[in-house]
Amino acid sequence: MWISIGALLLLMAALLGSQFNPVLLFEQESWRIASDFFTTFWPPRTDTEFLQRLLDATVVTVSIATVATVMAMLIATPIAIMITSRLSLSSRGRPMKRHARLIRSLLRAIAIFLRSVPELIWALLFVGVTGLGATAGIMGLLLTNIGIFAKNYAEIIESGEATVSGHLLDNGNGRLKTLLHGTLSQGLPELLSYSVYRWECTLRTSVVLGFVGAGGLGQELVISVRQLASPEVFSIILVFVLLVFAADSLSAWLRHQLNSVSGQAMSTSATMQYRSCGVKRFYVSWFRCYGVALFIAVMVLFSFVSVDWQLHQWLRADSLTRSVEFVQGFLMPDISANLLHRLAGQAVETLSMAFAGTVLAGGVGLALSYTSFVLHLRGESITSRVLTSGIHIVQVILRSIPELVWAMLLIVAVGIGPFTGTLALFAASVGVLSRLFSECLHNQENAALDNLLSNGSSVNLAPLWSTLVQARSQLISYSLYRWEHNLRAATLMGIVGAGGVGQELYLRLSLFQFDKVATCIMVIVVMVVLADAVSYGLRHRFAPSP
Amino acid sequence: MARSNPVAANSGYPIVRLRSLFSTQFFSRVSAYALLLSIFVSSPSALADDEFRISAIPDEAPTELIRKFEPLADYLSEVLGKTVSFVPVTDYAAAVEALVSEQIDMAWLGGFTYIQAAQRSGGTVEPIIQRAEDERFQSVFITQSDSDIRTLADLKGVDLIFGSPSSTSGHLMPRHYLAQEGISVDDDLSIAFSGAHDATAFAVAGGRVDAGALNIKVWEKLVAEQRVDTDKLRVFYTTPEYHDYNWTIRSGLSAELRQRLVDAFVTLDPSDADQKAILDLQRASRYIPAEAGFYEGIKEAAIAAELLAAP
Repeated sequence: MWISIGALLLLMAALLGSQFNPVLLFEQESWRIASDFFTTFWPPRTDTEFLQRLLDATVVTVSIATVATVMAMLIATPIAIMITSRLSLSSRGRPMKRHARLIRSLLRAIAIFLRSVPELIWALLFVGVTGLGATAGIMGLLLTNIGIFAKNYAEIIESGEATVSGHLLDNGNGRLKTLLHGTLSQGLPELLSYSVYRWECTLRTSVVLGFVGAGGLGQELVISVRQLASPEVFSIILVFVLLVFAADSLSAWLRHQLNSVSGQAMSTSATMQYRSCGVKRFYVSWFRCYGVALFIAVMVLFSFVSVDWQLHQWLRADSLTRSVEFVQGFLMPDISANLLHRLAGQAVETLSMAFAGTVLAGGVGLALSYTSFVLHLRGESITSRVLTSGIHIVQVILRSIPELVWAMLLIVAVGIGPFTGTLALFAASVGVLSRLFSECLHNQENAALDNLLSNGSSVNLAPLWSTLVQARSQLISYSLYRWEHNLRAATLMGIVGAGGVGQELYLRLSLFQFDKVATCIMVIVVMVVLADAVSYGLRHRFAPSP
Repeated sequence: MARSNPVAANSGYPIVRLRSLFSTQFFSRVSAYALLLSIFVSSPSALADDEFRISAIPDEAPTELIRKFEPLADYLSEVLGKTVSFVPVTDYAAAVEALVSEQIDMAWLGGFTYIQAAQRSGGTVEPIIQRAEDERFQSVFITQSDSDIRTLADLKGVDLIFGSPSSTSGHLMPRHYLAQEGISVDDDLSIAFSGAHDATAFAVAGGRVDAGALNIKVWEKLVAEQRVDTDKLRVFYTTPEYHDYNWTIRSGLSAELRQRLVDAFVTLDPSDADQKAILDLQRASRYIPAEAGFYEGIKEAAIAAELLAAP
């Protein structure tokens, strides 16, 4: 009871803090500007010259994402191995050397810092060192990904069976040997599968990096939006949605391949499997395995070759002095009361946007997924089919366009400010949450629901007292994850003018005041780390995993 | 030894296969690096000699910029005898970075962005030419016709919108004149940045903020082209005059090329129809040589407003 009152008060505070004002949406002037922009969307621009430009931009976007993912994997692997407790001698009750303990804590701290600073911010900083172009984007994606990979690789290694590696260590085997024979052979499929999933996420982010001059589709989009060239904007968004869809399918397929390989590995011993599956099946899966590897190799190779490495920019003498400049900024951040006061105000704005966006999206997402669940229960009719696919299309469109792109489009209609940021977070989150919620509702046991239905409950209401109740902890857990994600995204909204700490950061970057930039980044890191901790705590309190 | 048996049992062929998958990837990575290295070795230098790249701070919508600068780029191509291309950038800071890191050869900068570029390049970039109009530039403050704001002093406590943070006429100088009236932008106002001058005018027209400050030339153009409604908006303050925009060249261009560029601009002739079109697009009556000394006032204003580090 108290919790819901508290949550309601918090929501009201958040709506206030994010200057939530739906009236703006219905103002005549907004409508005029927005309708000028959006009604000319059709037909999209499709002349050859423009499409060629989009194709080039797409190649840049994909290459940047692929190169950054592969490099991050390579760098993060040793870090993950060093920070995981699975291979730690101290976890087996043996003493740990002091310098080893120090190195491990240091690496953990570095990984947390790297992943707490959003990619776009790293990219903005590197634009200052290497100038505009792909390498700033790669560095941005690389640094954040190293932090994310290191953490998740370590967690995946830890989630595996502990006995084998434990025994190996206890028996005096070296840690490298234990890694190769115990830990890695067990966790490899999941590690690879996670890496593929991460590639897909990186690709999505890669588009946004164009906003700061890192090339690719995002740069085309910014330029077209600023020109209010709607047919171009529409073409770019179409290409983008298709690209995300393709990456999504490819990633799902690759992960399926990996899982089927690992599934066989886990289920039975080699000879048993060989006998049961037959010779033909054996060759098919062998072929598939190498086929997949070859496919990945070609794509990675192509990306490394097609990326503009801008080596001349890195080798310039003043690149070094400029790197020193921003490292100095970080060593001596500006902590004057004036700046901190402004940042505090904007931080409240950021938190409000993230909270309001997530809660509203959770509500609408739940309504959408509940509707589609009920439609599913009612069975096949033309209306239900049309409605279901309508909901599905809305979900796909909403979630394949990143928050920042939503913000950029909504600014045209709603204007600058945190309200636009909230709407952007809301739009993307409705897409993601309603899909997750739908999956979750469909995965619940039907016993209670069937019971209610057979006792004459209405189809519209029965899931409310059965499926929804069963799913509640998972729904809360998804929403908390999304809130965490939205907070990160909200810190960037100010860069395109949609409110929050990003505004101060962008201002200070424009003025090349790196000591103030450093303070802004630290505020962001603190918020992201705290949100991680709060979300983790709440998830364990309210949504214990079954 | 007996204890490690589970591992032996587990390392049947599926795991062997996984390992070969791993090593195939590893092999491909090694070959990718080898290929990469060969590309580095053979990569051509940044700027081809026969190409001259120009850019501009995006102080107006990019369509407008491309419309403005492409005829000029064509004219310069003809005079210089090399391809002159216009490179659009995403924001003011990007234009500064591109010039300082020598990704472009010449940029149309505002007074403040020139000062930033000069500071970041250690004084090696050089302003060479400006419009006669840039000697006496001004900013205007606008508000809705029915608002109560009449003077700068009335701005206390309202929402004010600037253009880009790096804009001279859309941020720095308006801030400077506000400070002279005793109004601290950081403490007395709530501010936002629209990104460009025309966006500022539209934001005030849309009623989302109480007032805005922008470049007088852009304002006059918007009025002349009837893109803003003067029944809805009015100017309540016009700043004193200051030096603004110029064409700045990167360090390392030859003295001969510098001279040819200056000549190309100075000799633009309003009696020639094509050249008049270029001047009109730039909203220039004629071009005059620019000097670094013109921008000392702006530099001091920027330092006083803490938008620039004191040297």
